[in-house]
Amino acid sequence: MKISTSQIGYLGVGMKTLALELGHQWIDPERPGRKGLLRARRFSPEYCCYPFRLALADCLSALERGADTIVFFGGKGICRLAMYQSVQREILTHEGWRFRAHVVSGNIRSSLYGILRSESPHGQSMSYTPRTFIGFWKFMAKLKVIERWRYTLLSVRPYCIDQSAATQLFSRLVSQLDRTHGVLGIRRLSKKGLRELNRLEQDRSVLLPRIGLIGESYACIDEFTNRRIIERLNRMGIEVVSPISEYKFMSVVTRLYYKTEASRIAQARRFFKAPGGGDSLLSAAYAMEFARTTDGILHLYPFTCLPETSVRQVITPYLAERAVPYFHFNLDEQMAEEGFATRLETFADMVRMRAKPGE
Amino acid sequence: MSWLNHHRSNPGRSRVRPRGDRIGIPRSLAFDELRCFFDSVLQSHGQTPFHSPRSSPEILRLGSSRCIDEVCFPLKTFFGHLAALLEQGVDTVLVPRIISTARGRNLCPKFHVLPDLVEQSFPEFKVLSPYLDLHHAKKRDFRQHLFAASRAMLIELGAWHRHSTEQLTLAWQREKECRIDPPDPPADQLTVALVGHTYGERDPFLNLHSAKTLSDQGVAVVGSPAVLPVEPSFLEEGIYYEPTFRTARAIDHHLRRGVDGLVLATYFACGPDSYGADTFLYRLKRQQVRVPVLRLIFDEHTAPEGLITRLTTFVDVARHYREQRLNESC
Repeated sequence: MKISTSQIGYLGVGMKTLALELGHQWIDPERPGRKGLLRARRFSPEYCCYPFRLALADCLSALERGADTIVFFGGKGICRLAMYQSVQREILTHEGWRFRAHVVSGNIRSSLYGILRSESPHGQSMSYTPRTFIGFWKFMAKLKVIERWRYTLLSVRPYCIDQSAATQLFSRLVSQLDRTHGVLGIRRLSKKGLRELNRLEQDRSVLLPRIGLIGESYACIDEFTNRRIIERLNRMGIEVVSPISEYKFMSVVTRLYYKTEASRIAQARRFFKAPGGGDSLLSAAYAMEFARTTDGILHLYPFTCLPETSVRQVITPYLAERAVPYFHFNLDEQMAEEGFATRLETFADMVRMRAKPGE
Repeated sequence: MSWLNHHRSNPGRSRVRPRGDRIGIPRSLAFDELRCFFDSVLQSHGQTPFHSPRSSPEILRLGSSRCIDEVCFPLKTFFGHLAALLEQGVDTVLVPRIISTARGRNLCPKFHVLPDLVEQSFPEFKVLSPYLDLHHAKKRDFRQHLFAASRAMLIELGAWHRHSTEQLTLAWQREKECRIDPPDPPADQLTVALVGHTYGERDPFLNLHSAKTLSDQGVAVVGSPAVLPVEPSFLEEGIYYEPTFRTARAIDHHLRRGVDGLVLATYFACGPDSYGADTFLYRLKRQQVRVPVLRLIFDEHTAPEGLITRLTTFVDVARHYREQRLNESC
């Protein structure tokens, strides 16, 4: 099969390895950009959420590049992400595309590589061979490596003398990781990446204000979606703490996060006594944590995101009581820079004033 | 309690004592779902269900000041109803946490956390929130599941007694009696189905009085059936949101019975509607359904003219199609 799927951040890096391990061909969609977005917008429902349009753009791009199978995440769920697949399939079929659609739903862990292995050229009797376990291990391992690099980048870049060099280094490392498929290669590259990021020239003589980033995964990870907001804040002399990553996104969709983030989710019970869908529990929990440990909170989410608007409703009075600078950006197809830039600068000023009162 | 177990039980709380034995019930969202049941249950256990006033622009204004701007119109109105209850001295409200009423389907995420939103936005209230989640429940029967949730609520009120089970059964009977469909319109009258969320159909304010506007033009307006039709619909594939699923079945029901037009009432910023409505339109087009369909997206519109012109034009189109169909059949 020539497989592709809609991407979030660098999820494709891991998916590619999984597909290759199981003997399929992986088709990389074009990176999210304005051209793809404008095309997808023509076919998208009027007020669908922003990630839908980007995901549709990925599907269109993948089909144009020769993909014959699209893997959709969804089927059932709380957040409307799970409904993307029914609408996207309707749209793509209506536009004349012929492809096989696999919907990964329910227990995503088993159904994801269950789909990939069932049509593997190595034969349907693959079952749970070492190859499938290794493939899945590599998939999650790559995402974990990217997560570690990203955390290191975020803690190092604001202090770097040359911040653009740090960004370029990260991009180079991810490209190398994309081309590396062996277990040992992934491990070596992981250590090498951490070493190189930590070796970047930094000036730590001044402690910079820190803000915590919470919100919907797509909005927080994907740089086109959030207009490189983290880089902008770093250039303004603000360190950003962002717990969100592709690995965390996969742990949410596979529900692994109920185990790995059990203590945080227990904290989120202060706000939500039932899951509100998407990243709502983690957003609420991290909001409480960042209120104590950072100088401000930035909340990113697609316009009208259901789980995140619930989070916003509950944390706004909580943060106001504690006088924590809080700003939300609802992301959609905003094309004008000025409104975005002025709001960001104002928020950055608020954060600096809180970090150093009286200055 | 771990989140993994949370689906299977609702943590108990200390006893709730409503002021004056009045329990506020906001006249919005899930109000029409199980209203008769909860009214009956509360009355038979010494409590007085106190409904908020009907939806109005004043209610909306109160609600908009309490909630964020990005939520849907019905939710803003819901907050307004709560604010109105607060103004009338009510200190306890009934806000069910309805996660799922059928296997394999669930309601909008806002319903999942509705009591939590109320608690954070109205700290003055004590919130009674019977937990309904049939998808994850051990009891597969909705009636038994509802009874279990009501039992937990009555224990919280300190009102559970040895005859409570009989009272719950009577309340359930009453709920079934409340679900009656209006009579069918005459066959020679132009008939338009107004379908969407149940609260959108039944609350005239939430559909900006569309039903009245249509009736004023001599159109018979029919809504979704009170009981979900059992025949599966070609529209429902891949739909797991309960309101959208019901709308799919309702549309199919009306198409089978024969209507001259369909008005889809949707809401801006509604998650299920943002995908469901477009899915329906694609599928209706693919099936070459020859019935005009008008999709309306409601929000805090203050002027009715835009809506009236759209509905008037739609009625003209529906009339034209009806005449064409009658001529063809002759």
